[in-house]
Amino acid sequence: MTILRIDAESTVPPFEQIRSQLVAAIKSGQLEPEDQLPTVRKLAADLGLAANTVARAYRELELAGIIVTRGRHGTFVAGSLPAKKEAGVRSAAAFVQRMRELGIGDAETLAIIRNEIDRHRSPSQSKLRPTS
Amino acid sequence: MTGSLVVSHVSTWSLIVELFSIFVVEGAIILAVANRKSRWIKRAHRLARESGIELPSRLEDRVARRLRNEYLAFLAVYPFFLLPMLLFSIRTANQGATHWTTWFPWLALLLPVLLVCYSFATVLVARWNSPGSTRVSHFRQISIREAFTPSENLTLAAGVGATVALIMWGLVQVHAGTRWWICDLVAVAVATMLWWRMEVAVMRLPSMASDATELDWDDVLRFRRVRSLAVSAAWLPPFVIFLLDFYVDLSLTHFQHVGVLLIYIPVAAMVGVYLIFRQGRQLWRLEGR
Repeated sequence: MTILRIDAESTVPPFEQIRSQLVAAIKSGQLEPEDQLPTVRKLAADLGLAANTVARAYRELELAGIIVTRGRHGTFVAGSLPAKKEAGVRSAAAFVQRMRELGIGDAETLAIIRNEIDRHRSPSQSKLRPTS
Repeated sequence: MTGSLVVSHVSTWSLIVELFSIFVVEGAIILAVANRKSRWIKRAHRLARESGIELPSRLEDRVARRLRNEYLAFLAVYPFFLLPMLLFSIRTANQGATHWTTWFPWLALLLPVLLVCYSFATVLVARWNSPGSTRVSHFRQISIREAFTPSENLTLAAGVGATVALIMWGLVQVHAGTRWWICDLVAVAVATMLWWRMEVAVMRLPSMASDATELDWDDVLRFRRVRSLAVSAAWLPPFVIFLLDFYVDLSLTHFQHVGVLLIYIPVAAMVGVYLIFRQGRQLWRLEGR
């Protein structure tokens, strides 16, 4: 069984180290659909991190549809994604790949995405959630 | 020792003082033995061999210290359980069968829960500490079920079954009322639930390892704790009830009873449990899961 490794001296933020290693483990088949992940508190204690750091990694993976949280039963590796979401994930992966080819950093990529989301937001949504 | 005490009918206080001084002397000897580092390092290597894990020299000290702490934790808790049991059995032997039949339902009520707590206290030792900047953990949650083979699960269930059977047999013998039947069986259920919660607590303790070898050792020691907690929680209650009843029975007949051969039943059961639990010593590897 392979392990999750966090290097406190790395320049990569800890939440990103967790996120990327979990994605890699799922892609390589080390983690299979319906495998239960450790609780946020347990993983944070194991890795010597704040619970919020682990929670952030889990939240991002959940938003991407890679993992699912089932209340008090815990967090699990998601099964196959719905076709629509799968297509979205593929587009996002292609976009990230292209941005890296162009030499644009992750922070800038995220800023571009946020800006585009705000730009394409309908007027009604804008009224509800004003952009910063 | 206890037989001669029964015959001489010593007072409870002098008995307590005598037992206490025996514990102090024994404790001093055991502590002196426990401080021999080489003995614990040898034990650590034996555990490594049995568990099929490598023990690098940098971890020798830590594993040895951990094993010693487990042993000391056991010794610290042991008199709190043994002393009342010993006093209870001697008192019963002095006062006759009435005392035993009066107190049996109480014993059946308290013993399973107390033994689960006692077993839990013996596995509570200091955490594995790691000073490195790198920290590692498992990708997925390891469940308690993975710490036992199917035959070990059956053995644990048999232990609970033996507890229930012995309690029911005892309640029939002492003609206990319905209230006692309900209370004692509920107590067994509560003890089982408590045991499960404690197993979960041990399984979820943080690992604090800085590389794969340390994490493997953490798994070895964690599985060992979970398994020893399970064995003692499942098999100690029937074992203790049987031994108490056996001792009381023999003391009432001044140790002239042929039933002395019955002592081989728990001995055989313990050997069986030990042999079955040898199978799962390498489950910590989580292979093929």
